[in-house]
Amino acid sequence: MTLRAYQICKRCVSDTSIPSIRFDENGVCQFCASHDRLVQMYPEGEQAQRDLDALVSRIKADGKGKQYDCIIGVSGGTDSSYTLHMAKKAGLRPLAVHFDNGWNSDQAVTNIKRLTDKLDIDLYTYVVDWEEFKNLQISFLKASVPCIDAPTDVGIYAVLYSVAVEEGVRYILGGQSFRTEGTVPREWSYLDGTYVRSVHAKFGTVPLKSFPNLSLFGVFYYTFIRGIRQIPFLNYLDYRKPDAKALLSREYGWVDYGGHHYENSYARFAFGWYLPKKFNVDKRIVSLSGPVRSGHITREQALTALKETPDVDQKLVDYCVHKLGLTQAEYREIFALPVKVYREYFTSENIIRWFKWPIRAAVAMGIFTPVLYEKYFK
Amino acid sequence: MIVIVDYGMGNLRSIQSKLGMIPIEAAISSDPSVIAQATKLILPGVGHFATGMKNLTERGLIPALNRKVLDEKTPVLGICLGMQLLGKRSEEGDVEGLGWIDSEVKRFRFSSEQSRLRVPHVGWNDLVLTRPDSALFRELPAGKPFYFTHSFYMVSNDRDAVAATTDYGQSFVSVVQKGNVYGTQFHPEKSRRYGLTLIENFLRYA
Repeated sequence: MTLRAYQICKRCVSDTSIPSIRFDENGVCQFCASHDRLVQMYPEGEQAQRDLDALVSRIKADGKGKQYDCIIGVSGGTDSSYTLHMAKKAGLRPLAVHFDNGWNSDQAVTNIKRLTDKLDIDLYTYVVDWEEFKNLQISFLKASVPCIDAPTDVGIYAVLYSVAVEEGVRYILGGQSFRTEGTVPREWSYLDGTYVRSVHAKFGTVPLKSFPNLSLFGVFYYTFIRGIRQIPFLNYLDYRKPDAKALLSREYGWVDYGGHHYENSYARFAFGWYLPKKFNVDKRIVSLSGPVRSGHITREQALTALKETPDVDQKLVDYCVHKLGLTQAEYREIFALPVKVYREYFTSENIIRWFKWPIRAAVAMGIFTPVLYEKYFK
Repeated sequence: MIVIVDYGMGNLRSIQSKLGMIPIEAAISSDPSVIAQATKLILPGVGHFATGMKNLTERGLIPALNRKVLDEKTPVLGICLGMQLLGKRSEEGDVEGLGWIDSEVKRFRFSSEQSRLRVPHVGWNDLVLTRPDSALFRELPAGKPFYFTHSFYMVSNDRDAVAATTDYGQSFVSVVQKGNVYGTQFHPEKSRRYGLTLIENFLRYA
């Protein structure tokens, strides 16, 4: 590894802890440039309202005569809860789908329940086979890569797509928002079903029988044969997290947990402890850079927030190690393994790259989201 | 006419709006003269067993329901509390039910080894079909889960009336059928498309 002088973006708070970061002549990073392109694609103000109205009427028209017109994945966190709230407010008829990977906090479950009850939205919960999933999570720890939540993310997409097919629904509304979340660098959160399979083939001891995996072929099938679209719903809204949190607690008695993805104990352990300590990866850089670029907070506020230590204590670490069925010694051994990147395992990345131009065309046609293109090709 | 019996125990509108999607029109009524004209009855319900029986009695619905179900053999579908009311008795409030099915209702009680099992039983769970030929299960793919939310469960003394069971710490009756009397412990109206299929089956084939 070549040593690189420390540098931080002049506009946001992304720095050289992101290996692939590049700066332009003004010292601004490529993620800021990506943000500006996305702003062009998802403009604010009156145009946003027109785009949203058009989208909502299309979803309603396609969903006529069906029990639901869209699927929304819910975690109990701010983004997905607000998506559910706004979708219902827009007159959509969503089915809420929750992927229970065994690490839910009670608060997450309560939040989901409060929202779906009050909004009268049906909730489908997919529960993983714990013995199998636990083993898969240990495989990702042993792989010594930062993307340890890849199995959960892949599983969520797989379940959302299959529920959409069963219900005959064409739209999956997501709670991602480039304005508040930024674009997560590939090397921190690379996902694909081939990657999940190859890592588990190398380190797993329990065969994957029921895990809902999603290969690249699967994504193409759902997208082109079944015509299912992922809609980044929040990108059409002037979404600001603090306002959304206030609204959710006022209207639903929804409870805030603090950090991004802290509704799930394993995510809290991953983002608040394991990633920063083992990989020097602080995902708050990404989730604070988004609001800085959008002008929701100042760069100084973000830098101050980064100085705070994440609120994760040894008890949570012990709980996670115990729940995974590892001994402290085994965990220490895993923790000490040399750091690797996803490219050292078999993935579909090359195939994705071959399809760069067709994917770009599909983005232009509104089939794939531009966010995906930005993540994989920029 | 399909009538959803209104006896002040909730979730009527959600069933009506789901029927609207099939699309099938259903009336919501607590009027015995409307119930007398029903071709199919749906007895929904969320809440306390004794309150449910008290409400049915106070609204003067029990004679009307008995006449329809027992004499005219009009098909009836009890959902959740509505299914429990079909039985003879419940621990919840220790009162008698409608008595159409020889069964009792008990509370979930788990041993200390089963302490991870919470009461109420809330969430998606599978059916073990004991009478796969029941009209309710037509065109229903195997292995599809349904949405439950309950603290009490039915124990049937009449084995033939059990159409499906579900495991939650123990096996309990999740679907009953005796002649024209049908009941589901789960909420088909909250169970995605297969729940709707089941309601449609009841309306079409029962």
